Amino acid sequence: MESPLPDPDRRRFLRLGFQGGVAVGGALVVAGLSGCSVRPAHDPMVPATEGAPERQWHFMTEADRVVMAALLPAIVGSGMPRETQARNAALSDTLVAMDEAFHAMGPPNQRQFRQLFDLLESSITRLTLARVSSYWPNVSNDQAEAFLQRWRSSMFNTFNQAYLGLVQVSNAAWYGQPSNWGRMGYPGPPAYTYDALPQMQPSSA
Amino acid sequence: MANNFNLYGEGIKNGWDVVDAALLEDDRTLEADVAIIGTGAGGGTTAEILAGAGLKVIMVEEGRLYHDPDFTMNEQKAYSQLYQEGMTRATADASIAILQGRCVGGSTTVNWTSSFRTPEQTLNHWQSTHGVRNCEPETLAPWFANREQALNIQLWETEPNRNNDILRDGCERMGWEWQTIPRNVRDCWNLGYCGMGCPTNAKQGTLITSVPSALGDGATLIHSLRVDRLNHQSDRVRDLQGTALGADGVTVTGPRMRIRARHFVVAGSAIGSPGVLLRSNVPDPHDRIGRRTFLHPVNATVARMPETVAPYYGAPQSIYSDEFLWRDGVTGSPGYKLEVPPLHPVMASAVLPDHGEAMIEQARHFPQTQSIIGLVRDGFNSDSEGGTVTLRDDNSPQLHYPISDSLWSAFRHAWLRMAELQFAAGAEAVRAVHMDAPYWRSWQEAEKGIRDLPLEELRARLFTAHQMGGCAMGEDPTRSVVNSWGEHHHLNNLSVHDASIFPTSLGANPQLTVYALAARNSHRLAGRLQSNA
Repeated sequence: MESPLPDPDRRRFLRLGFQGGVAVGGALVVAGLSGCSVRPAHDPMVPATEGAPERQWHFMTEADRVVMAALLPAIVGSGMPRETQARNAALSDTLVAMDEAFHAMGPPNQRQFRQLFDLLESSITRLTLARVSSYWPNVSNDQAEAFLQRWRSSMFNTFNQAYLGLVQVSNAAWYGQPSNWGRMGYPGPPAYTYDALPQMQPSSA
Repeated sequence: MANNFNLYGEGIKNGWDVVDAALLEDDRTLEADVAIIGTGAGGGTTAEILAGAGLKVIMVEEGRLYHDPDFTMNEQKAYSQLYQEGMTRATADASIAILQGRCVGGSTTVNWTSSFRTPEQTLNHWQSTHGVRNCEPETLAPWFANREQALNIQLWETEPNRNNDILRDGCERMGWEWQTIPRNVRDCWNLGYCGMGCPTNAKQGTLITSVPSALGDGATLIHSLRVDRLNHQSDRVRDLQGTALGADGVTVTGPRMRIRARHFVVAGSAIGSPGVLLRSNVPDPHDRIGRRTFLHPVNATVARMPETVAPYYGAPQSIYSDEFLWRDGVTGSPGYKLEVPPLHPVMASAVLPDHGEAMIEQARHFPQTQSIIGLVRDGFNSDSEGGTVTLRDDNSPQLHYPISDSLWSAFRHAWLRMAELQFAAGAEAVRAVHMDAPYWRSWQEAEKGIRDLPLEELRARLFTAHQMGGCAMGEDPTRSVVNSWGEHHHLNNLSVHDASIFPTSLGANPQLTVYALAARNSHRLAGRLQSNA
């Protein structure tokens, strides 16, 4: 059982307008994260141009990325690579896709997500509302999973909303990457369209 | 071959007047006979007819121009570019996700092509209960036929994909009626990516039909321009004022635009049109603007089939069932239409509310996944008053939509029938799209499980792809915003030509109703404007 929220303002504070929405990543722009160049492998529309060394993040702050780096392995589950380099690359790609999605959703929804991240990042609300006892960089997979389950099964709509927001943006950013389509057994657009349609040619952009 | 690849590239080269407001560096003022806000089913059709009648037309679109060179069947790109709020629009309490286009062509660029005439029961109900005139089935029949011909709307004779075939199989086994869906396509490749922008220009949405026709007749298209307000004085709109948005579709770049016109047509959708009128403080003595907004709220079940369904390939919607649409008469417990949705990875992973191993398990069975949706006919019975559009602090529109008891009861009814149908068609397991639903292994298990599901916001995952109402038509100004021709009751040179004029939902996918009413009302408007020339 969740403990009651401390005050009604808190509940408003967390009201997320993006709920239920199919949260979706923006175009996977060519971008780099921590010097690691990121380029989706199979997307025919992304031209093979150079990766920018430092990405300009539209929405996600470093603190947001730390929170999501702790949560994504629990959200994505065993699909997340174990090997460090592959894992970091997968996280980078997903954070970039999430940032693009946050940008595309526009100011009203961004404000809601900003409030959610602020809540997760403040020590007091992390402890009292998220009930996550460690700092995010130290949060274990089990702690992350327990947190997600608490908010998913909470009797408070507010926490359900927050859960759905985090999970939908994450899932969309993860499964939307052509390199992860195979995890759903999805072959991508029919193979013949890559030859038959001009816009599917690698040179088109 | 795909149809007319890069139609816009060619058109612009040959003189089409297309303005990308993202590229404006200074404020600009333009003049026209008619300014049309929105380029979807309503605005596009209106532009075609008025420009064809020789009037100088300016189309204003908040979204951007994307067309076949951009349509690469990539979900992430399509959803962020072509949908409202990057596909994250939802009702104010977040309980219903709103799928709605925001691009040249509006929702016709991203819809699944189902094209139904308005059910006769609905038109008769509008006349008997909502004071609508001149919308009898026989009055509108020629206008439906007119648009069916213009947009090549025909029954889909190709074999349905397995996703739709299961709906047909299940109906057959249950002894329920089913029918084939008419689609607005020409030379369709049966690919399955209608929701991401048609990559072959087969879909006859306004993007490749009416808007190009209007451009060919000398109309101007301004995209990436958000209309802030209509300035009006006494009983006339003087001009519209808009703000340019950047190439990302989000950022305000600074330049503004003013458009003076003799007449203004608002066709910005059931959420956007009330938004424009509310921002403009147009006369609304009876507080009708933004009231009675309807959604055909949708609930869903997913089935795990023994065979590969590949719900991502093939015409997304080709079979439907109206077995339960009028189950308790027109004004009794709300009925629902049964259809299927296409599923691709992003859509599927966002719709199925799970994470971790539960999500992995669903992902593993994705190719065997089949889904059915129930589209509930809201707005006909006494406890279904729909929602209300209001403005947020930043003046963007937002829909508040309380879910009434009769709707909850319709959702439960629909979950039961959909699960029963899927088991009848051979499903191994079925789940309601609800936070508290597991996969059930038999119809008996599912029946019990669905009866126990809590009917609560957010726990039930609900959607809408059909937004209607909010600027209702009717002859009584105390109950409506526009008359039966879409003409505003108080401002003489203002019309509304989109789904916002519906007094209730329809009980069928709305695009053809919007096309037909817009065509009819635009012909009348053209006559009016020509005689006043």
